[in-house]
Amino acid sequence: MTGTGLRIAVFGATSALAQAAIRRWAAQGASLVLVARDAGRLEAVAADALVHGAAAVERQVADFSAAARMPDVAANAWNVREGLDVALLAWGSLSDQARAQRDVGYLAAELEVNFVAFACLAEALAGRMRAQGGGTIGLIGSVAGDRARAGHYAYASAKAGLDAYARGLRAACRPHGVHVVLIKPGPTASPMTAHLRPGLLWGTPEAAGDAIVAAIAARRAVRYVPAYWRAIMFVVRLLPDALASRLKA
Amino acid sequence: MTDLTHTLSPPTARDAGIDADASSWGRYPGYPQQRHRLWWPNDPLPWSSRGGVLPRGLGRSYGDSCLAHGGTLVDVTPCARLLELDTDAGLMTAEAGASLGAIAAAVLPHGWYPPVVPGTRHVTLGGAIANDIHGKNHWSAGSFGCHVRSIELRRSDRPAPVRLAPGDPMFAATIGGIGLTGIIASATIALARVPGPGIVSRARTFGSWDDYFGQSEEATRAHAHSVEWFAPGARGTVRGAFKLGDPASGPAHWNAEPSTWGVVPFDLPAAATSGPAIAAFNAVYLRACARAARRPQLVPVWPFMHPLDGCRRVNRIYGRRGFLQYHFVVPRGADRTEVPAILATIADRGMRVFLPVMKQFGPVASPGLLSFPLPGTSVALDFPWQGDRLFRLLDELDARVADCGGRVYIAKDARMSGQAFRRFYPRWEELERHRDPAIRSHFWQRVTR
Repeated sequence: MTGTGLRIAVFGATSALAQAAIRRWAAQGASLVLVARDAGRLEAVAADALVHGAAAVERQVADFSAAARMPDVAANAWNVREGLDVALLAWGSLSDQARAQRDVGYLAAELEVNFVAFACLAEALAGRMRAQGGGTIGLIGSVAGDRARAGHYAYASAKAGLDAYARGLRAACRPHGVHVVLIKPGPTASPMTAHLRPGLLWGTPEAAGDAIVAAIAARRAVRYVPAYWRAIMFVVRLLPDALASRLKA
Repeated sequence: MTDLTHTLSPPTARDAGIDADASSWGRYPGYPQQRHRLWWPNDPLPWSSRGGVLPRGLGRSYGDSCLAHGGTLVDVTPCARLLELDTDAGLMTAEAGASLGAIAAAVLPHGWYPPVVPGTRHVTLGGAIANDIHGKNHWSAGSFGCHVRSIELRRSDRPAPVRLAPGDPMFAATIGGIGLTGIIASATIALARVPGPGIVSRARTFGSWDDYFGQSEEATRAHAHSVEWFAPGARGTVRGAFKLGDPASGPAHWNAEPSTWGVVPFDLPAAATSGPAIAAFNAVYLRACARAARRPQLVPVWPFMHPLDGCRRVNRIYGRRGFLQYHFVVPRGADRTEVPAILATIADRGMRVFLPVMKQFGPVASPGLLSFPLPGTSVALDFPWQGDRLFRLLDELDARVADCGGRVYIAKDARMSGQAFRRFYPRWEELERHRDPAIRSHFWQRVTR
């Protein structure tokens, strides 16, 4: 399955990973609906997609912080071309753990944007795709969701919830020809991580873009990005809690 | 989001290879570099960073013109969006971090191509402007700066981006301005029409300097692209081959940017660039060129233009010490005697030279203040690390090149003296006046202070 002629919607289109995937789909000639919060940045991403060869690009401004609005967000993207073949949910907020521990309003908002809104939009799209008789939903999770640690469990637990939701949704959708692909990037150089010090295992948005497009085309259930994170997280998940909780975050 | 930066590169030339991202292509010299990634062209810039800032693209400059002087590199490569393509007029507007490879891949299916491309496609639009790069088509096309229609420049002393057009003094200073006049947000360039993604490639051999200069003018004029690989021999002998190319149509799958076929996985030992190894490589390469000489061949444009791009991190063949490239141009007239004399001097001193390349530069003048090309013969020589002997020789050659009115390419330089620089580029003080006060490069500090 290549992007030629496909109707693809990307939610959180200005994220670094989403931009890399969009560029590849554009070069394959896909018809895109790009949804993001910042209209100015969205315009640049849409222009880039057109020059890279997208058959058509529709821009929609939306905020992913309120889960209750997700059915409308899904409907708006869906209605542009009377359906979608692929949807990628790619927004995210790397929660400030210290703040989450003392500010319950912030914690609730972070969990909503990183998990509840993801689940609500995925569910709304899945319902439409089931009725349509097919489609693929890509969700950007995180290796952090495989094992919550002291330093970032507000973010990690939201991604862990997304992992469980994706599993269930995948099982519920499979009989209807709808596929759910969970992409789990390791730490990647992006604006979201600009305040962190990159390490040896960090990935690039470009490599992640290739992996996202390939995993969605192949309808993989789970894709770690880069792939070596699958082995690392396999080991990390086996660690007993008593030991894992002593490891530095 | 906070804008913390971090040190990526350790302090010595020897260790700079640990993170190739923040060293230059030649990996000499190495200095600690702070890097600030610019994700969007209008994001805040760390103007007040101690030691100043310097815009940075894909780091294909060989020496220290792409290194900060104790300050912060502003890495613009995330700003790589292609903003507008006018397929009728052949105009492309893109953010400064877009690579010429990405631009070429986007425009080839529409029958266009970047007007000038260097030997690698991994250079940014901003870097192509800042170094006023040239290609194998300098004779007919001039340098990259001749094709820039407008530049959007961010400066520390201006609240909003400045839009520059040909004719503005700041435009002329920015073309070949080695990043000193501001941080380019985006630019518009005029593309070149091509029949398709093919090149009709031809080769011709030469066996002496007289033979070379006898053929060069006609060969260069008759073909769109010309580059000459050669092996200087003992006592002033030379043999080599012209590699000539003309745009042609080709199958549609040639449009796509090719993937690489290999990577140099680690720094090779010095033996890899020892005298015999270099001689063997040069001989094999020339033989391949000579074999290709027999008849014209239709080849894809990508490997023709960028023969070394197939292999990633190819600069590792020179080992951890890195290498120096000496790239100079001698004006027409003087070139017939001076180019052979300079190469004979290098051979007499027993210096090892890898992959020597010549090009004929044509008469098209660049708008840039510190542009490198001038009508004449350009020679690029890669020297594996050979210690002080090499530095002394290159100082000597600088004087000879300056004496005959030539110059040495800043983008390749890691060692020229301030005195030599001022002879090569007498208009440097005009660039200094247009320099953004917050921008500083290691090169500029070295040659002007």
